[in-house]
Amino acid sequence: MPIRKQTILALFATISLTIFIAESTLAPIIPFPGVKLGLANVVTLMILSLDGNILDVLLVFIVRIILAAISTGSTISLAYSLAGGFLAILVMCLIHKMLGRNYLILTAVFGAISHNLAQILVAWGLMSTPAVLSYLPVLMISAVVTGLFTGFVADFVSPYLKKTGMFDALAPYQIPKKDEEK
Amino acid sequence: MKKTANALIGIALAIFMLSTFGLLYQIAHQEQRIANIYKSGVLIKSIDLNQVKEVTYYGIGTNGEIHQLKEEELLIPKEESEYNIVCVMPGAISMHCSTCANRLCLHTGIITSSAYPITCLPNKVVIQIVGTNIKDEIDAIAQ
Repeated sequence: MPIRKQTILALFATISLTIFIAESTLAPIIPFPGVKLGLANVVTLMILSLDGNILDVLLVFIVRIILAAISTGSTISLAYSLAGGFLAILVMCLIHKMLGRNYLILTAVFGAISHNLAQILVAWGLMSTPAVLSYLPVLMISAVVTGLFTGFVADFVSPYLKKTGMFDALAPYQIPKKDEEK
Repeated sequence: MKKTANALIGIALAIFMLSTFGLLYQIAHQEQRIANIYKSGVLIKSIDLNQVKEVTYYGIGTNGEIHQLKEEELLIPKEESEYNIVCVMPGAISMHCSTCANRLCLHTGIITSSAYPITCLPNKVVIQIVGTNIKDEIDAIAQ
């Protein structure tokens, strides 16, 4: 991997980790387990909007999970977000590939929905009581709302990031076209 | 591309609508919760907390007699050695006043489920809610 791309991804991993830890110290508004403002998703959306591919996103995600497990010390709750984040990344990359940069908010909403859905499914599998399914309506509503918020943030920031030109190394290498006009 | 985008927007909206309705359904169909009040091990009153519409107070005397109190009667009579006043709210119950020395029953606060009873050991009063599914409330079990 070229050094410039590596540096950019490391930068994103650090930002993602900072956002994740800062967000986990905020007091939850809604006292439900698993309802959180998934702000670390913004970083994933940034990478997608700057033409990163799924492997870059997965790399940043795995690095962030490992560092968060080391720094916060709670690995069990991280196991839930691992499953959730994994499915969310798959879904988001799929939808982004289908829809393109213009529909970033929709990508964010579906990422949040699939994240919470995967978390509930893992909780159901671990606890084996169908009672956790009663959390489904609340989590789906909060997923749509937080997905909208994250999507708006990403949608707002992304053109400014692209304009700086710093992150061009993320995009796959394109053969420069010959300029015919003279 | 526009068609898949619109289809996905529709799916997200459908999920949102369905979960709102699911949430309203859950709020409307609350589970039954009955508060049992025991004095010295004897059940003296059973209150259906879902039927309670407004805040009511009950006084429990030394011999286990229990009667509803009006707002201005929320005082502990001098002749009673063990007196407790219970506050019953829609869906919840708490200990309001007590003659015991350590006041742990007051500090328990308001209970809404069968996970934890309110106990006043010096006065031998136990308030226990039955009927709620305790498996919904337990977060984790250590083995």
